[in-house]
Amino acid sequence: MLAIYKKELRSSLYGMTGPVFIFVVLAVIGFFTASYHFKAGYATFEISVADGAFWSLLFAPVLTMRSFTEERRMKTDQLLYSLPITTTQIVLGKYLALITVFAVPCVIMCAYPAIIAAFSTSAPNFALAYGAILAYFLLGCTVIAIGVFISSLFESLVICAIVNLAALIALYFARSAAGSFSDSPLFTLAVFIILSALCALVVYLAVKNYVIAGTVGGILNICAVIVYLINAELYTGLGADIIGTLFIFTPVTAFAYNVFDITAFIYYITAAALFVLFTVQSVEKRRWS
Amino acid sequence: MIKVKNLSKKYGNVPAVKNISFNVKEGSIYGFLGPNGAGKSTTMNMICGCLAITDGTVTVNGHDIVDEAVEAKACIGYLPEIPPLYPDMTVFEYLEFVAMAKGLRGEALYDDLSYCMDKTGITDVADRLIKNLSKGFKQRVGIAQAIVGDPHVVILDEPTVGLDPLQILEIRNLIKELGEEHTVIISSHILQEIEAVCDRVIMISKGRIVADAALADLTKNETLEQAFVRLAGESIDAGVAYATEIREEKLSQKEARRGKVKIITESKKGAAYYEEIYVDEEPEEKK
Repeated sequence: MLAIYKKELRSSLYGMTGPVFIFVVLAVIGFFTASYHFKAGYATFEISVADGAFWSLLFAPVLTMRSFTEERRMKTDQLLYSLPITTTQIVLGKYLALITVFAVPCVIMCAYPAIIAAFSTSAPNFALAYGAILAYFLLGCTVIAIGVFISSLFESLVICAIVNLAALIALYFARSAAGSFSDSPLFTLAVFIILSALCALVVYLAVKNYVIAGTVGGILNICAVIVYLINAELYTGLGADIIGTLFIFTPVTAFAYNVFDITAFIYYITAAALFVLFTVQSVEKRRWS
Repeated sequence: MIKVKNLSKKYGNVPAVKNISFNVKEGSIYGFLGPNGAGKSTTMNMICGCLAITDGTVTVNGHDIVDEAVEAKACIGYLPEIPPLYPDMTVFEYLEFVAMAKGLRGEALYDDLSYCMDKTGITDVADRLIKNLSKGFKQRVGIAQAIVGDPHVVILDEPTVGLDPLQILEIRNLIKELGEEHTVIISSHILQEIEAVCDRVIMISKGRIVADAALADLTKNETLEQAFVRLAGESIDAGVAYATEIREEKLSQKEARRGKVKIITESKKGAAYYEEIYVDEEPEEKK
């Protein structure tokens, strides 16, 4: 894994994508910091992070799109698969290298609250500010995990970048539509059925067995229907809440409202781990097809 | 060294390799011979763990390629048909990466790299970017990465494709040298190449093994070319017993990608036989 990590880190930092990505992140967060703190006079750094999160991570697809798509295009994936390393090590090596690149601007960003404190009349809340930076870093880890997963699905760099960008935009702007989802129990049931199907798909990718995947999906569906039939009231509003949790840009904003939200950390770590797992399965599946 | 038992591969519902079995013994140079689309590369990829097996087993030095993949792969050095090179790396950086991935560290890593570069004659270009190298040197770098870590078996898939005659001779000599220290398997459809470097021949046609014998035994009563046409010809039902000429034509770029070729054989009697073969035997990689 160390070999893959070093190679990926080297190729990201020596090429154009890594430095440009670092520059974009610092420029966007720096722009919001300058606007809110030095022009408007706010002493709360977490607002800059929350508002700049989406815009600064829009460039992430350019960083992640090459990770597997390029290997496949150049036929170098055959080398990786023939080396005495596992698919998990390949995926983790690539993923950790990209995270390291993203960690560079995050570490630099850690100086911002101190700079604001030095020039501001009211001291910033350092716990909230560094909590926001950590949440932003973990959000970036999730976005990168999604990007790496998407790169494992496509053979064209352009399509990969477009799909990744579209996914990020959808995840960001769809949260404003979250309030328009129905509160009805039937809608919640429909959400559970879709989630059951997704669970079945994940199980199938993991074990490559239709029967087991179908059984898991079926049991989850039956449970959801039974609860609905017994007490439909339990489902009121739940569907909209569940969909709301899928919008990855929401948790980081909690820090802007003076809430030190530890659940945001858990949420991002879980989401990132899930997409890394999906990537491992996706790469494995290609070898089986 | 390598035991292949009832190995099969299907792309979707299309069989590419059909229930093949053979053993590779230590210390020989094996020629894996067959027409384009016969299933050579698919078999090689399965032996090296690059491609999942549909059915059957591959054991390398006692390690199953599926259940003990890391241990099995540690015994193999593989050069695919298209050398898997990173153009933006220097030769040394690339080989260092491969060596690290194979578990070499510190002094042992640099000693091994020095040996491999010396063996393949690329020491002088160690600091050059791979994208700036000639095709012959790129092939040498590909072979160098295969022998990094001193694997028991070196598998080379069509190592001389696209090289000029001088480069072909150089690579053949290099393969002979490798055969003194490693068990080598070369995939090729070029008969002269197999005759020039191999001790044993495994012939595959339409996804089946049609011959597995010492080169001397196979060429006792006929030339390798005649044996090839007879064995592969029987398999494709061409009906040509002894051909004096065999030519291969790709039909079109699209058809070639699908593994479709036209084999033209001419017998001593002057009769020409045309056979389009393997239309669906080895579909595109993406399948």
